[in-house]
Amino acid sequence: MADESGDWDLVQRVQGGDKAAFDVLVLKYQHKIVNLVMRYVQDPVESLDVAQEAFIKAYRALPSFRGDSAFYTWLYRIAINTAKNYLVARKRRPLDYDLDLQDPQQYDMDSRLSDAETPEGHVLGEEIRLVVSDAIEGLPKDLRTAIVLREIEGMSYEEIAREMDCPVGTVRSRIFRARDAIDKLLRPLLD
Amino acid sequence: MDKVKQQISACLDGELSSGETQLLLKRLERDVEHRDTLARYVLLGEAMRDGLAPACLDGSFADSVASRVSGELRSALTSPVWAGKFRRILVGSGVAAAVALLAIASMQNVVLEGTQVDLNADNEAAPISYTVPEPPAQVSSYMVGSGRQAGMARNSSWARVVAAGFVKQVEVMEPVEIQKDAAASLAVESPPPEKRP
Repeated sequence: MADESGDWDLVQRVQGGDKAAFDVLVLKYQHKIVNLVMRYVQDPVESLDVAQEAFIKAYRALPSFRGDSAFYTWLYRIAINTAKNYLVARKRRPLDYDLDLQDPQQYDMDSRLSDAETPEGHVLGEEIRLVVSDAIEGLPKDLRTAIVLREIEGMSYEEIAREMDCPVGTVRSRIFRARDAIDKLLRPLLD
Repeated sequence: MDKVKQQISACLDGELSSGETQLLLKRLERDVEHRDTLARYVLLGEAMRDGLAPACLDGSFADSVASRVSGELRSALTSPVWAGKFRRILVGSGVAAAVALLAIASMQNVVLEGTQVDLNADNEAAPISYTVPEPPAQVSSYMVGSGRQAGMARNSSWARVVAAGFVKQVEVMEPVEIQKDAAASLAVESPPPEKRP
């Protein structure tokens, strides 16, 4: 899958000393990891600390990462272990259900906002979702199809190209144009 | 069409060539605006999947991690694993040099080789006298030994200066407090045997 090979390229650059590559990985997976940790830790402030610690542990362990699994799968396990260790250290009982058994990808599709988040963050999150949803509805069909196949279905550019019967370069362009159009509506909300 | 933004979009999907990735990473490192663009592209994807983490909306989380990663790099460069050896040599040399200088400064004002010295000869307000310990070779060998421990060769110029410090008096001068203390510190017993590896 292109996403995994792209992550592997970034991982190898981090192993070569490129911290900008690790920054990209953090930006890419921060939402997933913070949400994952919050399912264990509950408290928003503590969750951020634990999630941050998980990324730092991953950074320290990256030299020994051989790519036997996808980077995100590996990071997912580190985050869970970090959260569990934190709870044990704080003498809190982990949750009854075990997120270890869930497929990381499937977990992402089912994740919901935690009740422990701040009202302001929750409101902004809802606003962002609405803006993005409306923006996608307003996209031309080919751009909407491309971005949905990429972001929701997780298909690679090659798979999307076969699905849409167009060159890979066209897929790349359509996905970018969709993101750019949504970003123009999103940016004022975040500035 | 913004070419860099298109590259950011492709990089996010793992669809950028290695060469383009390398150039883009350099650009992201120095251009905050493009880094923010990447963060927003991630954000809109998470919003589509209902996977937003509100705590990550203002960018501070990724900034904190980046700051800690920079700290990790700095720690690695000053790692005690390889810097400790050099640190020990520097500290040892510093201590040996400081003691040598102190000894040389004090030896310039006293007579050595077992003679009785009255430091009060020219100063009635400082009633002190002492016997300079002998042999001076013991102290100089201790100094040289310390220097060797700190990395100085036996016949190094520093070792020769240390040994040369224990020569006959040049002249007697009016005593000052620090010199009296230095002289008192020279009244030592035999140094402990130098530990051999």
